[in-house]
Amino acid sequence: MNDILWHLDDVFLSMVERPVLILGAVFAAITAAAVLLTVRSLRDSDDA
Amino acid sequence: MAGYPEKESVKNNSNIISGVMYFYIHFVTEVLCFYTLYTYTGTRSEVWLFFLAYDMLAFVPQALIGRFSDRFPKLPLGAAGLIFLAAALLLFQARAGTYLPLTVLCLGNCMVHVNGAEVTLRTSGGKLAGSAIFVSGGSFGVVTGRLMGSAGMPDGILFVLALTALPLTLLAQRYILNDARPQTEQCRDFRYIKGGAAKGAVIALAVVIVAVRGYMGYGIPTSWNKTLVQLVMLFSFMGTGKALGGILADRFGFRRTAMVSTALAAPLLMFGDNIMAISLVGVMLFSMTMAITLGLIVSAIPKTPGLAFGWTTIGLFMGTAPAFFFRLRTTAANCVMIAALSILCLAIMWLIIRKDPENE
Repeated sequence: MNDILWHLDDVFLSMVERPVLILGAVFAAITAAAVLLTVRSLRDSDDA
Repeated sequence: MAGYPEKESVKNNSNIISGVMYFYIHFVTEVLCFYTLYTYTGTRSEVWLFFLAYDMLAFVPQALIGRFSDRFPKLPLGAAGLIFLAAALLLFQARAGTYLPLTVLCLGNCMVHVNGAEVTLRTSGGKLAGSAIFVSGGSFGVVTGRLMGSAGMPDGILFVLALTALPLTLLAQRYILNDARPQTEQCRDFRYIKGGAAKGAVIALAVVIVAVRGYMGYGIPTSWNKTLVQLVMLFSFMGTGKALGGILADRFGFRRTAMVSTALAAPLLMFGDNIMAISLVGVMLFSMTMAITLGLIVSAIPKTPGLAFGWTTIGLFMGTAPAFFFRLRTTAANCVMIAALSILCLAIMWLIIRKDPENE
């Protein structure tokens, strides 16, 4: 099991030339979701 | 407006008590995180990437977990977070790769932070001291965890620390469980933004201020910071500033505290490069904006305080991430940057914060 996990680490670091890009993509996706949720929350506040 | 015991939390001090409890829980959380980071990553070549991933995974998802917690505020996320942190430490001990334990560690960190925000904001009665005291515990925890990790302390101590925080998270959660008000009404006393200001813009501008604070934390010139004691002093003043921001805003006025602390901090940060005392006071003053920005965002979306808190951590990541890739090398460039960013923050605050009531 541990070997598999370490292998996944290596995959992350070697196959992806720039792991920073993955982190950037995750950041962009979460932030976009947060924006959508915030817009909904703002609409709820206005409706009240 | 009548019908809910909205100031009850202020009268019985539950806002302060929950803040103090979460000060300790937050302290323990950061000790666990930074002990783990410094113990298990110290020799790896990609250590900078590991820290960047930690910052991203610990800060940014708090918005989504916060929204989830807004939907289910009675879930004991704080206790679950502590269990995740302990599990991450066990996974690191078991040498189960790097990024799986890191993800578990970050999720635990997120859960504890979000729960702390939920508890302290929902019991605050519109005051900021409780949340500010909760957040300030993190600075002390970061430096303690770093020192413990660097000193090679045994892991067992960390499990004991987590256990000491566990009952406190459950106790703090009682304040939400015992609150008779509808959950969407618990933060309605946060009214710090100017009438007529577009709330979406307020959130965006407050996030800019948080990002500036995050950037300053890495970018301020501190040539004096060379010894262990000086490092502890720096983090201690940072933590004290965060707590004082909320306490002073409640006592002397939100807008007054925001404007005065930011205006005074700028020259002290610029000219404190070689003088520790001046620099520390500057750091403390600038850290006061933490409570201010949180108060602003909660005022914009009072029904979702967890999501509001998550925006402050997204802003923090946006401010700290650039430091992984570039830094201003000269003192002059740093001074220009500090001056420009401080003026920007002052302008934003002047634009979006409502005037303090006369009796504050």
